[in-house]
Amino acid sequence: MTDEPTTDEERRARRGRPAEPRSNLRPIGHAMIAALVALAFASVLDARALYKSAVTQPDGPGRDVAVAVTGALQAVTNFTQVSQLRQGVASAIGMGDKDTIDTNLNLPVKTAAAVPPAAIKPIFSPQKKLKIYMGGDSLMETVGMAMEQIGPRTGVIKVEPNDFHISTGLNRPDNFNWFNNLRSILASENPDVVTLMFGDNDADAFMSGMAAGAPQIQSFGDAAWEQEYRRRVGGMMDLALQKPGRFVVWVGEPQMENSDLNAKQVKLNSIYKSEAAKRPGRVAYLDTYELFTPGGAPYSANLTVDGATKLVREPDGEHITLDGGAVVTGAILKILQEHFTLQGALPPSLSLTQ
Amino acid sequence: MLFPTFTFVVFFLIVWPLNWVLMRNRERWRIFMMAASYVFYAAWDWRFALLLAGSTVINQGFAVAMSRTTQQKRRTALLVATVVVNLGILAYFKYWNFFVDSGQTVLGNLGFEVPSLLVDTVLPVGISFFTFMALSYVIDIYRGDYKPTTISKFAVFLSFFPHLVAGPIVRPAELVPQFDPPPDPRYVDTTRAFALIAGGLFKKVVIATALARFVDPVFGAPDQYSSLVVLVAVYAYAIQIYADFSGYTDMAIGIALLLGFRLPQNFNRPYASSSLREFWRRWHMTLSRWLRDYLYIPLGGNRKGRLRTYINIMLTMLLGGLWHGASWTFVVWGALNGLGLVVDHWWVSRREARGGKEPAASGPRRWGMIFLTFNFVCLAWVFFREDTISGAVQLLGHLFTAWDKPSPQISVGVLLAIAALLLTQFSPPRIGEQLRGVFSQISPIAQGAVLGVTLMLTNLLGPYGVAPFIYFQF
Repeated sequence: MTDEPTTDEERRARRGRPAEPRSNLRPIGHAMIAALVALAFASVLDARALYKSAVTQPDGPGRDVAVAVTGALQAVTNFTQVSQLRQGVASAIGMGDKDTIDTNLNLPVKTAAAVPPAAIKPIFSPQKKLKIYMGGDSLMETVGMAMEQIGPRTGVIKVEPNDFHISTGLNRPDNFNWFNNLRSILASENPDVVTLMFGDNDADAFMSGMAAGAPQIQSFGDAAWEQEYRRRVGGMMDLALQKPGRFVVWVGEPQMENSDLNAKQVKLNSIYKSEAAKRPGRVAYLDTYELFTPGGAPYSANLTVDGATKLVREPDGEHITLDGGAVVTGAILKILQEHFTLQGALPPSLSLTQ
Repeated sequence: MLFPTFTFVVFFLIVWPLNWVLMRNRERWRIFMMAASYVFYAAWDWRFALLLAGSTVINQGFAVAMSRTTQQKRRTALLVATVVVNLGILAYFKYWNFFVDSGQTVLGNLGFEVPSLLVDTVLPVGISFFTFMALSYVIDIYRGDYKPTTISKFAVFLSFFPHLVAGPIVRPAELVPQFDPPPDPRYVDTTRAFALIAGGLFKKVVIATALARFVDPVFGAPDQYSSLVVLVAVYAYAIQIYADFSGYTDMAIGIALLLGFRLPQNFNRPYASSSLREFWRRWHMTLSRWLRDYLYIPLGGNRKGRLRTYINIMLTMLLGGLWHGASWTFVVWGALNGLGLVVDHWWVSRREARGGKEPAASGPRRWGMIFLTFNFVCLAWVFFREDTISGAVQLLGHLFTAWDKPSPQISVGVLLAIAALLLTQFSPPRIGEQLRGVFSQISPIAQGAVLGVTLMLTNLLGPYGVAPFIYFQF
């Protein structure tokens, strides 16, 4: 609360000098040229990113125009190889895939065969640990984090790094191609169990990567939409099940605070559940809607676990807290215990404090 | 319309050249700039533009009426009316529900049943900023420090789009005189403008966004994380809010410079402050200055004895806290800063009474003071960030009780973002000046190439899409 000068600007002004040395001042025309060159140059360097931004916009005339303009720009930069600079920098810092758009789903055409209940369940032990992969959208973040903490405590489970990608889903492979991502993870990590969770970003009618000749989708939930979304959900399951013996846990969506969004999640859950049912013995559906709001209770951010009330949902009414993630992890572990023999496994304490 | 968006780029590419073309015809330029600013503001909600226009007309009316009378009583009455109307509008949109809710809670606890008087309003973006600017215009006229200008100049002053939604809070004497004579297009501070815009963009898009992703879940449920993670999140939030807010105002100042106008600096390496007093001279400087000149000094400042000084500081900081938002957490944040400033003042006066010296500009003692100041500011930010006081207390308690709790690893990116921004606080200003000197001497094409690569890197390191700015809510 004093008027001492503290900024360089103030000090210069007190000495009767302009804020910037006069030699640094330039005609405005120069600045306009520099700005236009900068924008043009950045547009060329960022052409792939601009195109991806345009493509991943919500459907509509604005998107069509943006896609046409940035598509033309990208064609020019691809021809001249200028965009290689950004690609080179991106690859060097491990972000090489950031601008990639690949809407090719490459889904298996055959539904994975059902497996009759085995007389002897597959056996895992501290010497031969069960490898679990956790992948999905932002709701998977805390579920995966909880599994990373709790899973290894059993002594039998090895958890792969949490593979969540914010603002992604199955309907916009142009934004993030989960099908390719899963295929590459399966090839490199070869997990025994694949746990997947999607839906929060799929409550929309628009889908990219539609097969040629596929019926036109008019609205979320119509027959054409359901046919395509089922194909993708089932396809993800079948991708994982290409290796014999691998097991999939599909984590359904919990109840959402927003009733409109929740109604869509209910629809999505019905697809996940029925697609899982088509692959008995190989895919388990985890009903988190029932887990967090048992008996059709209304939405609540809290849940009583072992007599204690815990905050399981984020204030946004969509996401799951770390404690909520622990609850889901507990349910996943229960499913795994039913499906596998986990020899020498310690009781999986769901506490995050141990 | 957010600065780092394609829509704004298109808007500015139209407004920028027209600004300079129309500059010579002052009246036409003012109409143009006012129209552009209203388009910018109405892009959020066209009703906001009506509010801004109403504020312009009312305040100009009071200013002109005040200038036409020499009777002190009448002038004072007009001033009181101005303050009541401006704060009334602000109170309705921003504080009505807060006070009604708080009142109902108190009455409810006392056993009284009261009908709900809560109203369903949308808080107009930037209302606190332009209300304070309008108040400073009328108060300066009341004090005789400034004479009323024309309504078109006042309208441009109030609505000038670079500062409209999140400051800096400009005084009429700083901006209105720049309208006449018009800026010289041959000598424009373009180098500084580009540096501010590029730096601000990087701070917002890369640093603030990256840190928000780490901070949000930890502040949302701190008891689920270890003390170490919570501690890093507290530091990360301090950096996030600085990157977010200073990033926006840097862009605002840079954009104004490209239009030929100088706006006051709003941040000056605040986390390098060695005392809370220094921090408040370096953080949101235009708000600190406003509070000092229009609240602290009229209350008596430090002219009425030590106790009154302390009371005045507390009142100023409490109201400064409330300015940020209608919540008790902001009041506590203001109170904490007020208490800190009182202790600071007391400490300095005690040292001076004993003939002690101010700590040297460098050395361990100064570094210790910087460390203490930074940590105190971070502690206060917890109340600023949390929705409830109990939430803030719980988070702070968690800093001491969960050191043995395992929790997810803190990413290198988060630590790098914190370290990088803290480093900028201690880098000598000379480096920036020298770099700007070199940049200003290269050709416009080369400047464009440098800026293009900077934009590309910002775009690459940032996420797709832009998060809203924290200070827009104020």
